[in-house]
Amino acid sequence: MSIVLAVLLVLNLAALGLSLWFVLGLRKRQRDVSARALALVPEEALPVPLDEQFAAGRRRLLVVDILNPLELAASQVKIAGPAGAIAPALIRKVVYEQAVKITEQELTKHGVQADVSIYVAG
Amino acid sequence: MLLASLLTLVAVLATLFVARLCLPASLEVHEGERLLHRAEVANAERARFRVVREAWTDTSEVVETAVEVGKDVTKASHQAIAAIPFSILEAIPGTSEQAKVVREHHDDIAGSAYGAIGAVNQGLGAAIRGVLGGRQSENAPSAAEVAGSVAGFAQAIGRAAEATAERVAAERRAAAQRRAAAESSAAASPPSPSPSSAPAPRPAPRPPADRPRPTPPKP
Repeated sequence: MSIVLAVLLVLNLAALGLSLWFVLGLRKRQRDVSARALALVPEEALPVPLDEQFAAGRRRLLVVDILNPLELAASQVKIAGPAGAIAPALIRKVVYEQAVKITEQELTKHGVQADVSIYVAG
Repeated sequence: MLLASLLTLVAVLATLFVARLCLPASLEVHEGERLLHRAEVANAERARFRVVREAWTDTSEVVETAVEVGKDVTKASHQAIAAIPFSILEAIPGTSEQAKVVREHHDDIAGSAYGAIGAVNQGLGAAIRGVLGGRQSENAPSAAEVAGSVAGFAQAIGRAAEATAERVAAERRAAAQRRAAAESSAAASPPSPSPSSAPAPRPAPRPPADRPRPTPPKP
């Protein structure tokens, strides 16, 4: 019993350490965001006709619909194959999150400043 | 032992609670980063748009100035060159009156033409600057003023054409009156034979030997 308690305590300490590390990281990110927001000088307002020309045209979005998330997951991680049969929604979620990261990295390599985010259809 | 177990359980639950609190904070920070990134990039895009548009506006101003200077130089050269024959013709008693009238029309048409060119140039420049820069310059001529200058040029040409037509018609009338007066005076006085009225003998043709004959081209 005491061994179980000791293991639980160790696990708890590890989780606490991770949480602390995560909180510290969050604080650092929050400070960075605040500093960047303060450093952001708003561009002088354009004249109205020019602003209309700048904003002319319809907004265009690039939509990526991954058609084989389970196959992708199974090809990357062995356990994802059986897991996809049990929790396909979870596997799709993970695949899309990975796709967002990869897309951001690849677009940045080509100088594209993009806001890549997941849209969950209702 | 029981106390130790309870304490461990409480510690685990507290850790889970802290971890659960961290998740929404993480999402909020991520959302803030995303919005800030969008704002920064949009700001840079807007600044780039403005810089390029201002460069185009400056270019249009340079072109307009170049056209204006070219027009002024051409106008000055034109006036200087045109003044030479007019001055000569005005100095001759026989052509003085006609030269003055022609010079007047010439100056009228030339002035209107250069004025129209300048107004169209300024109007076009102002329109281009308005489209590129999204604003109108204060001293730019309006479309009505540009149209007025072009219409003034057309009216000057019309006035010159009307004056020329009137002058030609007046000269024709004067010639007809002179002809009629000569005919009436001739009809009033009977013809009397006089040596002076006899037809003069035709001059004898020059002998062909005096003329240089054209030599046929050699093959």
